Amino acid sequence: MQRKEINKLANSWTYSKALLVCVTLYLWAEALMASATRVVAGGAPTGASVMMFVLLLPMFWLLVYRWYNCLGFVRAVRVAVVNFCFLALGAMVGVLIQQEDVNNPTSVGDVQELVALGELSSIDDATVSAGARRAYQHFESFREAESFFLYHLGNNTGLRGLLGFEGDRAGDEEQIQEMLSNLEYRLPEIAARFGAEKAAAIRSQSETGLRTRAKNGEIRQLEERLNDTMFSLFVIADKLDLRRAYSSDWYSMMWVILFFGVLSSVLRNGVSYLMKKNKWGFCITHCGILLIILGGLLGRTTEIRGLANLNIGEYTSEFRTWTGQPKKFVYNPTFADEDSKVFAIKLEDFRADQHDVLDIIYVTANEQGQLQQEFDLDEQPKLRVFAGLTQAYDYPIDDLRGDPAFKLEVLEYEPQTTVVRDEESGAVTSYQAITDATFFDASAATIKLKVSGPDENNELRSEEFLLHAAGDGDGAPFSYVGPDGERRVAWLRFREDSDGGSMPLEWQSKLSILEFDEHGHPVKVANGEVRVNDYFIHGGYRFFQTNHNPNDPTYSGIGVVYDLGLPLVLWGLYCVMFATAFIFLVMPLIKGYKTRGQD
Amino acid sequence: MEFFSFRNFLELTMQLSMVPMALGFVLFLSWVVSAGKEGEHKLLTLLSKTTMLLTGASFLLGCTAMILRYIEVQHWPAQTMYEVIPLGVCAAYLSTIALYYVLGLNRRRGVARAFGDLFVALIMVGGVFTLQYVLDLDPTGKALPPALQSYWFSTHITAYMIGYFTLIIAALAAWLHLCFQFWLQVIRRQESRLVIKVGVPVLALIAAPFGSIALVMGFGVFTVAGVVTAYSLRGNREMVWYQTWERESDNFTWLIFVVGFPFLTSGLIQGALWAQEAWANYWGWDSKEVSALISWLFYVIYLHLRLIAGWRGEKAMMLLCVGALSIFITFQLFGYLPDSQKSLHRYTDMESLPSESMMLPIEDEN
Repeated sequence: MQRKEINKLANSWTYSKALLVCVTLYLWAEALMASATRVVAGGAPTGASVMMFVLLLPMFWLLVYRWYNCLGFVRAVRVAVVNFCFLALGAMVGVLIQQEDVNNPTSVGDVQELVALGELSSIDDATVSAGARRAYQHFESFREAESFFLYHLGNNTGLRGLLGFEGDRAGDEEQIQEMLSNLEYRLPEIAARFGAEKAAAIRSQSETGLRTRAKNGEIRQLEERLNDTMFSLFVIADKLDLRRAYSSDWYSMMWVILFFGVLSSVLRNGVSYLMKKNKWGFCITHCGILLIILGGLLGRTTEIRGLANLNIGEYTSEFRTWTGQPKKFVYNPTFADEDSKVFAIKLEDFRADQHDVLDIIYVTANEQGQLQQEFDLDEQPKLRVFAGLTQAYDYPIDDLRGDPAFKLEVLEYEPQTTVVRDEESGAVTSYQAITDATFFDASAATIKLKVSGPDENNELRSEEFLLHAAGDGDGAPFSYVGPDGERRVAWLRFREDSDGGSMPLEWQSKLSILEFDEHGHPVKVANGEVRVNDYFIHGGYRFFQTNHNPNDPTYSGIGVVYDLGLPLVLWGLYCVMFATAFIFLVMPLIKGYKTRGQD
Repeated sequence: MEFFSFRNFLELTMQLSMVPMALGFVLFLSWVVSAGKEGEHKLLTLLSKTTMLLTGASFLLGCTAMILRYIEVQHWPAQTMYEVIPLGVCAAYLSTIALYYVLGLNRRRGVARAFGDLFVALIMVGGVFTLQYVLDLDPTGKALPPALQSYWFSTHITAYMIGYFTLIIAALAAWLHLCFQFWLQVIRRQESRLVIKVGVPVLALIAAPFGSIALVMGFGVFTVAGVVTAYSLRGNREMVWYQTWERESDNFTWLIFVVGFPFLTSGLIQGALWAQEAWANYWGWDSKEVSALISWLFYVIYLHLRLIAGWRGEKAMMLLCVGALSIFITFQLFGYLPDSQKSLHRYTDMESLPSESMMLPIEDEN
């Protein structure tokens, strides 16, 4: 059959016909794979085998005897548009229905066991199977996520009444307003002392926090109210694979149609057509899409993903996949057999580096002469330190754009240092930067800080401090006279920010690769370092920094990934990105330039 | 507050943006009133050019604010919404300036400038409202977590911001056209297509619950367009100032799309390349990634329908408007989606804990 005739067949597709055939194909894929799974898992039961045969037969017939119709189908623009719409719809399903955690999935039959229980309240009984319990945990997470979404949908569109809530907003509005007005009363002083940003932060966080707390209470109520409906939805979503939308067979079918559609449209007018200069962009973009889909398929079939838990000095030739299975490190595992060489990874060193911060705490002496915080803030202001940092505090309360009384400037900052301290006072007298330090040398930072403020005679007084961040860090008091004539003391503390909620600056692990000699003794064959955003490759595996434990500074979790499809995907991504820019930005500019030249 | 601080320059940018916004509206109304009158309208043309200059000045001021934030937080200022949204506003201003020349609005003469002035004024309304919203957000500068310490951080987010805001501008241009078409057909009692007759009021209503900006840009623009159209058509007159735009709007919206789409694609793909480096997983089906993919797929559908299936005019423009809604959901409403709770893209959220000690009753202090 001629190319023109196939193109004619492609053009004959209408949107409604395309929609019907696409939906049929998605359902066909789901049914086929379901029966195939039963055949493989259940020792080929007759019913499933017959079903599989019945499903495959018409497809073979179409592909062999009506191949030109199949070609016309995948080449049709309307089919492509309908398929794109379904791809977007499938993605929307995945976003709107909470997806199962791929690292902790339910097994086949778990949800059915939970349904068979009848009463969800009996989930705590000792007789309930582990599968049903696992399914119940999934249901709880599903119910929470869907109630959260439904609540905000109703709340933000003014349909709270439909969800059974009274009033315009969550919580006791009168109480919230009273608390906020108490806050407003105190904020001017905070703005004067700490700056307008700190006051704005407290205002914003407090209002959002109060409202979120009230909303969370209502979400819990909604969860209880919709428990039965959510359970029905959970069971349906599980049955139709909507909780596993992206790994479902109907969604895979959409990618298959897309792949053949793109392939067919690239080759629509023959290879020579693609050699024309103005078709290069089109060709590269679409080939990029093909590479991404092919790479994705290859990745899905060969990917191994897991975690190796190590402490400094330990080595292992085994890691655990995300689903808990142990795997050996063998070179190129896709093509490996029992005789393949095993290697091990060893954690030579690990360090989590924290940010260096400076606390600014106003202090006053109480009646017993002890220093105490002047402002009982939930979190005292802290600055992340860098050389050249300047900050001003204590503005006139009636003129926040006026001159600040108290200024500080970080004159010097060295991240890794040794210090000399005065024997009597313990204050740092000098420091030495460790210039040949590596990341794993965990020596602390030192800063030279200059602070200034007026004294009692209204003359500017400056003072310089050397502060070292080791341990709990060094502190120094600075006294000055505020804009209202009152004497103030600011306590400045330089330390590493290892508060519970703070993320570290960086995690880094030093690894070595070991192979085993004929006596089974490990021999080092390679070295590498990993940090987040910078992985290390060996034997087809990529090792990356995944985990750390603040309570165990010697522990490092090393992520392990083996994915044969990655190079294809990366090439595809680059092709699509650059070709799109070329088609839409570069080409019009060149054309415009040429047109202007002709004028 | 220090003069050279991000917050101060944000306020200044917002205040300066009000000038081209007001001037744009005044000019638009002047063009509408003076439509049909003879003369070169030199003063109006001069003021129209000044509007663009002031937009340029607002852009520069916004960029200065971003540089100051960079100095304050010591990284590309795109971690929290307090930083990302102003970056987006700068991107919108940059796109406006670029589009002004790409669309040839600078070469228009007389009343043909009217639509350009309205277009710029509405973008500035968006800018002013957005910056006002940002000033109420938590301004705390946060340290970058390890995953964000990458060279992709700046380029990925900036590409997205340019893509998002340019495509929102495309939707705005399409929306303006659709609103005027709707009212033209209603007032002239013409037979109109379903896409206009039903689609336009539905879109105006759908946008309403998405916050004050969406309300102004959706229902507000729809209403004002009705008033202006009714005024322009009084006594069987023609909407002279609208004729050029009516003729070219399809091509204009396409050109804006052509500028924005490569940035959207680049943002999406850079995200995948970055995820591959940070988590060794180029695509994790994270809900933010999927939301972004949905928006991208939407524009791919628009592209194919327009280029291959021959969709033109109102139908294609309606798609651009729905595409902007999709972007808005991805950018602003993503945090409410069911699967967003376990997303790896929640860096922009702050832990909002109320400051209990600051909210105790006042009398307790005395």
